[in-house]
Amino acid sequence: MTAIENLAKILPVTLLGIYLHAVFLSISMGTPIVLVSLIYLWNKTKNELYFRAIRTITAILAVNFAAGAATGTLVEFGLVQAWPGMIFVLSTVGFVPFTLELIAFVAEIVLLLLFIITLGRLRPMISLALMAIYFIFAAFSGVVITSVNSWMNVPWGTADLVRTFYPFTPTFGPLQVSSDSFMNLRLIFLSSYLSYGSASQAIQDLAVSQQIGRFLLDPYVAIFNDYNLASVLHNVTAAVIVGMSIILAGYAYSFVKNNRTESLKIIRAFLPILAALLILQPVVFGDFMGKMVAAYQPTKFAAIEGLYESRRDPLLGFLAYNDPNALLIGFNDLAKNCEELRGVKLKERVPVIASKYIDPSVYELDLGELCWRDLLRAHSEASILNTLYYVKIGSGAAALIGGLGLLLSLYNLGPLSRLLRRILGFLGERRVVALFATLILLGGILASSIGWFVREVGRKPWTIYGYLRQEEIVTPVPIDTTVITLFTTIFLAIGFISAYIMYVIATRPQKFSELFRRLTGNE
Amino acid sequence: MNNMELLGFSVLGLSVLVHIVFVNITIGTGWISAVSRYLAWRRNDANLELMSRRVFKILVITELFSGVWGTIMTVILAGLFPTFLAIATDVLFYPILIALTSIIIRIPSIVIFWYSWGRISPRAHSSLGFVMAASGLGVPIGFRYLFAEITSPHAILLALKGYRDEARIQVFFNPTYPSLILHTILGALIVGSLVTASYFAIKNNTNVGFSRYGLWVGAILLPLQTIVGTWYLLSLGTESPILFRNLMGISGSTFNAAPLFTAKILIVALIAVFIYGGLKTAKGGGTAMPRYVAHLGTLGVVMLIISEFINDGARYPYFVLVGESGLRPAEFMNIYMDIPLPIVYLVLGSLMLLTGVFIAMFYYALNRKLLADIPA
Repeated sequence: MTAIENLAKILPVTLLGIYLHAVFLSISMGTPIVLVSLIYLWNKTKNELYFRAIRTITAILAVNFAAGAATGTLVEFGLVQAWPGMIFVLSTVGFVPFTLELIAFVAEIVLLLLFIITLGRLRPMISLALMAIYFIFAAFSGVVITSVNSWMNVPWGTADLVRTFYPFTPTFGPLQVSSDSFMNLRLIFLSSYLSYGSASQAIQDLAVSQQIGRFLLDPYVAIFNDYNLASVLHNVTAAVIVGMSIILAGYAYSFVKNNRTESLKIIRAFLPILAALLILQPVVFGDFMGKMVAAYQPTKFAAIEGLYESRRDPLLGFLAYNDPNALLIGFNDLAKNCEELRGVKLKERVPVIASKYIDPSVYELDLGELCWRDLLRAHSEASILNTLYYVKIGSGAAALIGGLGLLLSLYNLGPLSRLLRRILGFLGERRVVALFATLILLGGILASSIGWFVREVGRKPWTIYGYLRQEEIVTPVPIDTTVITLFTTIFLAIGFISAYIMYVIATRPQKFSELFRRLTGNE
Repeated sequence: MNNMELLGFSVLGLSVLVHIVFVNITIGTGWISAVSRYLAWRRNDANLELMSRRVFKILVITELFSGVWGTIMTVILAGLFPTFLAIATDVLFYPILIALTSIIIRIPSIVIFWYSWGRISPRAHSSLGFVMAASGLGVPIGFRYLFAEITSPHAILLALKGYRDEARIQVFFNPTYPSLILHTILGALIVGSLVTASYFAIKNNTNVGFSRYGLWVGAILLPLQTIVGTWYLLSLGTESPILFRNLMGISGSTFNAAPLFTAKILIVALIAVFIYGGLKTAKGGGTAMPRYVAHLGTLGVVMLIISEFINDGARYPYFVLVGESGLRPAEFMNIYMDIPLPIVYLVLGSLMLLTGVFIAMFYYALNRKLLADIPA
């Protein structure tokens, strides 16, 4: 079976796993902010309502954390098992981020357990501190994992090496990898793929590893990637927004369905923070992210903006390059770069080495042809990326409108609140809350999930931008459809059952028999 | 071994030991909790339900922590031994898949079992208990193929000869595996039973009836384990001569693990004596277990650590044993970069510190009853 066949089977289930993990991860990132706000108010007001909400949300966080850990384990194993070429990334640029992430993961578990068993037994401000530290580690986890993903989007430290194959790419920072090793791996994978239809098995051979040799010169390169800071701010904020939106939607539902005004009190506790994040995300972090994409990912930028032909657009030019007159490079000009390489053989650009792991015919490859073919593959995703990108922008705007609308409805913010009430007064409070909460929830989830899709699909056909392609990373093991069905079923079951149990925890009290209660001393 | 090899070998070994200790506790207590939950429902016995819930508290606290050490092992393998991991994910693709499936069922089922208690019907809850317990066994059932392969390579040798497709199936026929997995499962159940027995023999937590359940399970399984352990040892004699000689400390050994092996046997004997003493007290109608029963859990863990250490560490200086020789860690080590040692030490130090905090929390949560039977 060729890697291409595996790719078609594995990619959808990998996506499902990552998305499911992202949902749980988002709740784990958003709930600490909600809990910190509630604990603060509980400490300030001594109102039991807040304590009850804290207990319920903590139980939800625990179930969610477990589901997140399970799906995270699967995604991590999936990385090395379904995409074994990723082992190379983990053992090089991913080494420092992934080992640091271990500290964060263990700390999260210890702090969450500590928070759960001491809640109500220690002073509220200590519980608040525990939850705040838990959030710091959760965010740190997000930071380091994002750094590896960022490196795959922008292979920082490879300087001009990628330009050997794809001259339209920019310089990816100062050279922090060995150029010989970089080329050896590229050629071994290319050769293996052309000979056997799969490439990732190459790194199982010690002799191949020795041929690749010392690749990475700076182990911290993934963290200090120019593209990383924007990615971290954008991704972590998105996760927090989604998590908070889900909690908000739960309490809004409770208010709309049962007219429980207490639910509005809970929402008020954290709504200002959510609204602030909804403003910051597109205006500051999204803008920063967009500038980074424009600077470092020419094919993705052309695709999401639908730049089939280069053109000038004052607004876009300003947003992307701070220059209204900037020429926005389209696929036509990227293709011209490939055309300039037409007829140039690989051996003219790369030193030829005699190796049994590199088929000599690889050196005869036409670089222009290789560049052109991969550019066409990137181009083939352009229309869907362009459409989805603008749906994402619209969704983010909807979430922002929902956040501001709810803030104006639930707080008295002077003339703006009065104006909103006058316009929407005919709907009644419950409908207004339902409307804005729905906008926040759907807008937030859509913007985040589409955003991630655009981020991942946008760097295709490469898994490591401009370097290794998906089909070179995927497992050579023939994957039966039964395995895919099994994993899809398990993923969906975990998703549905966990969501159901979270719902049960939120809505149903715990009941034990009288005898059982007596035995435990809880009569 | 050079310094980097020794560091990699030791760090991997350490993570395996910590992981194995907590995992065995969770697998064993998981079964005891699930069975007692089921019996409580069938017999309408609130006492048994209470025992199930209290035993489950041990599990609910330890599970995620034990699991994270599995993740740590994977990261160590990927970071320090990428060539080995690349081989394992190919040749052992299906066994890892079994373990993986079990893990993703296991973690949510534990938390759901805890939080759905009293919120769903006892029948549904009991069924969930068995899903939780069975998924725990699936993890070693999958991963022990990997240990069998590094002790006596069967499929890996086929793969190295180029029979990759056959190797992925032949991995299930490793001759060392049957005795190893039975030894592992019985070990986990025994450790669970000993931890249960000692948990209910501790001063703040005394319950002779509950402790006796643990002792009985141990009393039944320990003789069985002796037979299976002997079977495993004999299979090592034929399939993995170096490990066998190292355990016996006889001529031709590369590492003398005989003193540790002897210590393990003595500890097993001591456990048997303590179980007997505890059961005698319970039969005589005593209101408290003898003090030494409270130490059974610790003894069980020490037995476990020694067992795993001699099973894995006694292969020194080899990583994979192949008949009368072996492959050293250097054959699989990361040569793609210089390992940043400050990061390795920082992570190790932090993990040890957090493990200490966790153990203290574990103690307080259970013995000082910080984790209530029923939330107030």
